[in-house]
Amino acid sequence: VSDEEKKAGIAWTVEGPILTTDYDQLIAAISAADPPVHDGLARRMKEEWAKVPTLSDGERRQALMFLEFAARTHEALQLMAELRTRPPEITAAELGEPAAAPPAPPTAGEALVGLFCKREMREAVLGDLDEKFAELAERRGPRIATAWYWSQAARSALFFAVRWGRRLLELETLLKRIL
Amino acid sequence: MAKDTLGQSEYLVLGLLARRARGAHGTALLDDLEEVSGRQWSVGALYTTLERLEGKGFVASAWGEPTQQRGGRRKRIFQVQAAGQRALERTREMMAAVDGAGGVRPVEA
Repeated sequence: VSDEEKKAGIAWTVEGPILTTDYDQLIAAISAADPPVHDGLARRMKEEWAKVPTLSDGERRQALMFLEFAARTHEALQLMAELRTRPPEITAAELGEPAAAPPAPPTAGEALVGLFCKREMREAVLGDLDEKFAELAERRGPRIATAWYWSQAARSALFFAVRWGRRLLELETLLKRIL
Repeated sequence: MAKDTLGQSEYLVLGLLARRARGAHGTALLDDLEEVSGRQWSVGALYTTLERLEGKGFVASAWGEPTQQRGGRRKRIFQVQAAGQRALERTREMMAAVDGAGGVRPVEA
């Protein structure tokens, strides 16, 4: 039994592995385990697996039980190692900071649409753009949402401007007819 | 074009609006249009079409409640009117008549 295996709370007998039933000790050992324990266990699992075809029925049952438990322990060790390397997630609230304000649509983009859009339509158009922007910012991030907003603002302003121009032409024709 | 027939964008917008019994506002229609046509419509294109349809009496609109997500602005809910339903039917009949005549084929001289 290697020191590393002892540290992980795993004991072995001649017939096969006997695993500790003291789970608190095992969990504490896994929590404190270093990568070598992890690697040692994987190596031992491979060795045991290679022996399985040559074992008698009783021995095979014990070996498979060990392998099943060892695989779970291996997974747990991997998870613990990953958790140890992952930086802790601290929320703004935990740090005592105010939560970040949700991203706002670009003001200049709003102004561009508002400039060409008819007054009675403006509230609905800008509201729809805001609604879609908020949905996109939440789903795909503020940068994509801002790019979407600008593309909408430019194309929409063009549509409104063309319509506005047509109206001016119609007005001119009408005035010519009247005057 | 006859007054009770529809152009392509008018047919699309009016047809999609007719699928929603309670009417719809711009954002919902934009999603539907993207799904059906496979391209992203601009809000400007949608509203100029809706304005034209409203001018012809095919749709009517009413203001909804303001929401925080919309920057405190109200929704404008559009709904298809009886004249709009008739225009849709008339356009569908015309399209069916074209299909019944063997679709669009070059006319031999």
